[in-house]
Order: sequence, then structure tokens, then C-alpha cells
Amino acid sequence: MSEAKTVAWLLILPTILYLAFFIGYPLFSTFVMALSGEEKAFDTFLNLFHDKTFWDALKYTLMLAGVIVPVQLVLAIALALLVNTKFKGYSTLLYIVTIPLALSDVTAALMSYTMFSPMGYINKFLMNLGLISRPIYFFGFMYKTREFWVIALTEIWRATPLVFVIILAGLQSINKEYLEAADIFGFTKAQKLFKIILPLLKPSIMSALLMRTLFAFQIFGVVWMLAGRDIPVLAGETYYQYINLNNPKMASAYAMIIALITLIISYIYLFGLRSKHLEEGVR
Amino acid sequence: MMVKKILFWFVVFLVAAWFLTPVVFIFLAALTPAQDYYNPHKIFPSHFTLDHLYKLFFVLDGWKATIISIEVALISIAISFAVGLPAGYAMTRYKFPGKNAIRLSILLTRSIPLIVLAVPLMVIYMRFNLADSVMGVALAHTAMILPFVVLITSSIFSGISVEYEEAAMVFGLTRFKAFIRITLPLALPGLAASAIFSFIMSWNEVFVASVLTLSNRTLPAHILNTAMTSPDYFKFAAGMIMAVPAMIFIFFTKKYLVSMWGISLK
Amino acid sequence: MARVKIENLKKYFGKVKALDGIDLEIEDGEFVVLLGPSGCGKTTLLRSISGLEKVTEGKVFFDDQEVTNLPPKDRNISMVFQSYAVWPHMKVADNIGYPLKIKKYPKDEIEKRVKWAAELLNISELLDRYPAQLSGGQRQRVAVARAIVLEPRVLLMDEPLSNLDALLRVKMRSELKKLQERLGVTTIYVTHDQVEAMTMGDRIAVMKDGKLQQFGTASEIYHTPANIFVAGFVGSPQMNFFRMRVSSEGTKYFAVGFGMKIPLKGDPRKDQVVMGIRPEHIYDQASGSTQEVEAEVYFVEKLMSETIVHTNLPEGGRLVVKIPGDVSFQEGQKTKFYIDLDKVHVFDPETEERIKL
Repeated sequence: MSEAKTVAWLLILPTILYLAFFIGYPLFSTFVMALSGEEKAFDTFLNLFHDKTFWDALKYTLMLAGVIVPVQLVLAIALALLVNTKFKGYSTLLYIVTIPLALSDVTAALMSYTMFSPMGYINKFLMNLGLISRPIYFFGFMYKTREFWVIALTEIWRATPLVFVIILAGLQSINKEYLEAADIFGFTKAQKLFKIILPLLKPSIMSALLMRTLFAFQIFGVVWMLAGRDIPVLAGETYYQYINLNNPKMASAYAMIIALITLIISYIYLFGLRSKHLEEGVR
Repeated sequence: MMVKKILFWFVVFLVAAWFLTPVVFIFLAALTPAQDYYNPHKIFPSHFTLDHLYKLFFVLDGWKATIISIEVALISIAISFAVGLPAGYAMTRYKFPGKNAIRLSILLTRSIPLIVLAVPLMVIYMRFNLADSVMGVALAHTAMILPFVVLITSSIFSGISVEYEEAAMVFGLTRFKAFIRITLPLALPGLAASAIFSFIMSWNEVFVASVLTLSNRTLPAHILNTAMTSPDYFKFAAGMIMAVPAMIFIFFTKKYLVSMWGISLK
Repeated sequence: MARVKIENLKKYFGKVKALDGIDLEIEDGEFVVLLGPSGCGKTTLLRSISGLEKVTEGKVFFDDQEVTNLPPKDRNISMVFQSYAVWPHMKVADNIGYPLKIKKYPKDEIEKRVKWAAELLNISELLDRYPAQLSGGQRQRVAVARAIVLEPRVLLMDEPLSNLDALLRVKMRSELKKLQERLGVTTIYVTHDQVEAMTMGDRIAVMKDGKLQQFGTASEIYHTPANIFVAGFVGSPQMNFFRMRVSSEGTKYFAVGFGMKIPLKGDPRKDQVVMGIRPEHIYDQASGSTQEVEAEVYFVEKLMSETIVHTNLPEGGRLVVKIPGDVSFQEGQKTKFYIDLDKVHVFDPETEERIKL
């Protein structure tokens, strides 16, 4: 028996060592780097907290997450319910919906740019229809609000499928007899959705929400490509501090903030919002 | 009834259009000649051109970046499968103390933003002469892919009855040989699909790749840093180059799509 | 409570005919079992009655009301599912009471009824638990309580006992039957287990390939099976079948073959017949009107309460005999057995239907 344990540990050891070296150690040194200030510890953080850009970045990151996550969740649930009716040709729709999954945030941003740039197709269509005479500008620091909404829209386009596949997988794993029982016992469609389907989906919804919220705080590619630093976000500032200002300490401080937020969110989701019926018994 | 049906298909059409339109238009834009693109009255070009793609590849070093992207992805897949496959196997086939703790910590590594890791990794790389190298990016991408590989292979192996392996062992094979001859061939389609997913993960990763390299940039990193200062139509060409392989790969793994993403995102 | 009438019901899945013209009339308060091998269409028939499945053709009536195209929720039925389908996110009391809440029963009425159903099924102390904390048998009881609390016109059950272990299954069999008798609710029960069918059903509908083979009481099904399929499906071990030649001596007719000559009670009007003899209707001692047959013992199954003897007949063919009690036989031993001539069955070899003599 103990030989089997040894074998198991030997098989797993390389993975543990690799992750310890490439994830554990960097994480630790980010921590150290961020805390070792110029003169005393926390210097870097004090500077950070006095920087208006940081608060802007935090604000915009939170605002984007606040817009993107709920919209995505609702859209994804609706989409999953649609695809799960298994109508004729649903697998084609499934493929189309999952295309953005294969695309990087950079690609998604470029696609969005194709649509929204001054010479983009939205402007072209509107001008050809005679609805506008000059292009509408969606980008540039004068149009921050428009930029914000284009970014939100792009992220919704890009990452809704992520939520969608998790929800769909959850939906497909629901025992069909639960729903048939609801039909038999007189549930209306709305009652079936709210009293049976959504509660049973709760674990999937939770993990999708967790995933999406975490990713939302790491938002970078789309913002950087479309708005640069017009709309500062935490991950973007990390990149900017390191690459453009060559300031690894400040970059580490930003990274730490992101890590901290990640930790807090994970904690809230994992321990605060568990499904009661799953907790109290064996699944 | 009829109205309901029309409405249903209208919704389906709307969904498909919503997801397809940007993809279609970036392809269109990438193939539109410059003068047509800057002509506000021309939506559809008078003719298609491969000019932008050609220039991006051969003038703006896109070709080199593409090769590097593929190298990075292949090396990452090789290392992460070599390291992760045994771990995935052990996670399903063996019972040992600390297993759940390990599973949980592997899961948790997926939620650590790569951004946090890139900067200190660069410091380490300077010391080991890995800065600005293909290998350096590949090792970092491996760190990103490895947890996924462990979880997905463990789920693939758990889908293959242990009794096949035990039967082979009863008939005289060692556990290792039983794994090679019986379990591995059965797991191959699933493993191939997860390799493709790993490829896409690496192919799309931009942040770490741009921090860790300067001259040896992967395609997305190259585009993020270079092509952005180029005229619009090069950006579209770049977008098309990045989108096409990913879309083709996704198409071939359609069958595994939902379950695999479900696992990779847990 | 209601009569259920099914007229020429058809259900096609593409080219597969799951139901191929079913006619069935079920009396008010009757317990009817749909029995058949897997894929015979029994579950499809049940689901068609429930409304979960849309039928291709035909009609379903509850009393005189046609319900063919009504959705399940408007049929006033309830159902016990194979996996119980007890909603995991609701406590037992909510599982039972929710259907009442939907039908807008007043709160105290709901409470009263839930209590009544829970007491009836001995699950009163479980009302405050989640299904995950219950055993399979307890979940089954919850599913039944939920099904009866509405006092449905028709109660449907889809292999409700198949997920229980053997001992519990026997116990639940009698409990469910008693409960049904007490409530007097028209019940349609799907199973592939002939013991369940025989012990529980007032009448049994035997199905195969989407067609109704026979509809009758357990006694009718056992003693006068309508065809070879029914004869073979009901009874254990399976009935012995022999295809035999018919010969006549004056006005007397015999089935001849396999070293046997079995007198028939009339003219079968056939050159050949299939004779069916149940193993339990072959004895080890002569009595009344029996026909002797000599056979070589090939294999013996000793169940102590009974002994099942597999034998080879001298002219080929195998005869299975069931003798009550613990009786010794040697393998290879030649023994005489006695076929009860009052209990042999005669079938048409072409149509496989029973021939009445």
C-alpha cells in the first residue's frame, strides 16, 4: 500500500516542483518586491495609494467588472437555455457561439476596432444609409464614455461564451426527470426556470461567476488595444509601470493588489455563497 | 404557433449574427485594398487583395513571430504533457493522503493572474540567461497550461474504466505497460483535443509573452507592440492571422468543446 | 380518479415504431401493470399517457375527456419516476408540498396534506431534511408521497422499484399495492419484472415491439397466454417449447416428436403445432392425467425449496423440469417425468398465437 503511495507521489512530484518554481516562487518574490520600498517597507504602497491613476484604475476595473459580469451571466443563461432545447441545427449555433473562445483578447479587440474605428463598418453603414454625414468617433481620450462602452461591449462579446459553456455543461448534467417531474406537477415555464432549473444550476453559476469576476479584474488586452491608458485598469497599469516606466517595484505593487482582490473574491465565493443542499449531504 | 416559430428562428439568427459579424468583417477588412478601406462609401471592396497579409508576414516580421508562436506552443505542450500526464494519471488511479489538497492548490494556481508572475519571472530569467528567448516564454506558458493538463488528463483517465488496465495486469503486463498499451490508446482522442486546447491557450497568450521578450516576440505580442503603430489594415490582417488557426482548431475539437472548457474553467 | 381509455395510439421516433397502435381500457381505481422487455414501448406508452411525450397518432381519454393534446400539467395526473426525481434543492416537505402551492392551495391545507401523505408513507420525521441526506428507499417514499398528495386522477409509475435493493423492493411491493388499494387511485405501473407485475397488478398489459400482446389478470396471463411471447415471458424458469407434428387416430389428435406423444383435446387444424409446457407442470410422479417421458439428467439447480432439472430428451431437445422441495438427481441419470396434460399449451407455429382446443 505504501509503495503505491510512493509511486503516486513520484508521479505528481514533477508537477508540484514545476508549479512551485514557476508560480509559487514568482508569487512570493512579487510579494517581497512590492513590500521592499525605497527606504522602508510599504513605501511603494504608500506611493501607490497617493497616485490618482491607481484609484482611477481601480475605479474603472470595478466599473467594467460591474457592467460585464452581470450582463454576461444573464446572456449566457439565456443562450444556454436556447441551445439546450436541441433544436435542429443547434450544434452549428453552438460552434458559432463558441468561436470567441478560441480568440485572444487582442484579436477580439482588433475585431471590435474593425467595427468601431472611424473608418469602421458601423460608421460606413451609417454614412451609406445617410444617417450621419461624418464618422462618429468611438475612440480617443475625448470620448472616454464611448470608449468605456465599446470596451464593455467587446468584453461581453468575447467572454460571454466562457460563461455560456460552463452554464451549458451544468444544464446538460441536470437529470431530465427533475424537469419532467416539474411538468407533471403543474409548474409553469417561469416556475420551472426559477424554482427548478436555476437552483439546480447554482453550482455552475457560482463557478462561472467566480471565473468571470477573477478574469474581469485581470482585464488588459482589450482595454490596452482599444483605449490605451485613456481608461486605466489595474492590469494595464502593471504592464505600463513595468514596460514603459521600467519600474518593477510599482508593477509588483499593482500585481499584488490584483492578487489580493483575486484572493478576496475567491474566498467570498468559496466560503460565503455555497449551496446549502449540496453542503449538507453527499452529492 | 407559426409566429412563435418565426420568432424562435429570428432569435437564433440574431445570436448567430451577433457572434459572427465581427469575425466576418475583420476578414473582409483584412482583404480590402487600402484605398477602398479609406473610402467611406465603399463597404464591400471592388476586389480582394492579399497585400496586407503578405506585407505583414514578410515586411513586418509577422512570419518570424508566427514561427516563434508555434515553437512556443509546441514546446509548452511537450513539457506540460510530459510533466502533467503522470500527475493526472496518479490523481485518478491512486489514493493517497493530501490528494484533495493538491487538487485544490492546482485549481487555485489557475486563478492567479499571469500578470503577477511575469515580472519576477523576468528577474529569474535574467539570471539564467532565458530573457528574450523562445524557451523562456515556453516555460512560462507551461506554467499556465500545466494545471489544465493535470486536471483534464485526470478527468480523461477517470473516464476509462480501471478494469481494462487491471485485466491487462492480470494477463501479465506491468502497470506501466498496461498504461502504455491499454489506457493511453483509449485516451488518445481526448488527449489530442486537450493538446489542441493547450495550443490555443499558448497561441493567444499575450501579456507574459510581451513582458518576457523583446526581439523574439510571439505573434500576439508582436502585434500588440509593433503592428499597433502601423496603419489600420495591417491590424486587421494581424487579427485574421491570429483568428484563423484558432477557429480551425476549435472546429476539429467541437465534440469535446463543452466538457473541456467546463473543466479548464473550473 | 378516472377511467383511462387509449385508442389506436401510435408513436414513431423517425422510423422506429415505439408504439404501433395500442388500444387499452383501464377501469376506475384499477392497478394496471405495463410489462415487457426493454424497448417494448411500455415507458413510451406511460409517457404518452402523462403528456410528456407527444403522440404521432391516436387518442387518450380520461373518463370522457380527451387529453391527447393537453400538456402534462393540465391532465391532473402525477408520476413517480425511475430516478425518483426528488428535487435536491428542496427539503422533503417542500418537495411534497410545492405541487400544492403551485395549484394555489391555502397554506394550512398544504400543511395538512403534506402531513397526511408523510404519515401514510412513514416519513414524517424526514420532512425537514434535504434529499441528499436520505437513503434510496426514503427518497422513493418521498417521491410517492409527492405523487399522491395531489389526489391525482391517474397515478403513473415508471419502474419505481428498479433502483432499490432486493429486500427493500419486496417490502415496497406490498406497501405500494396496499397504499393504492387504500387510496383507490387509478394506477399505471411500468416494469420489466414479472414478479412485480404478477403480485401488484389487477390486470397486466404485456407488450412487445410497440404492440399490446395480451391484457388480462395475472391468472389469465399465466394460465392462458395469448401467444408464444407471453407464454415465454411470464413464468420462471421459462416454458418449454417443442415444435411437434400433428397426427390423428380416428377422432383423436396427438402432437408427436422428441420421444413424446401428447394427446390433444381437439383438432388443431394444423400439420404442426408448438407445444408449451411449463417446468412446474412436469412432475416426478404419475398422477391424474399425465404423460410419461423419459429423459437424461444433464444439470441440476438445487434451490432447496425447489429443484430445477435440465434434461436431454432421447430424440434431441431439452426439457426443463421444476420439482418442489430438495430432490436428488444424478447427472447422466435416466429418469421418468410426467407431463400434466391439463396444463399444456398449444400454439400456431406460424402466427405464434394460442390455439384454443
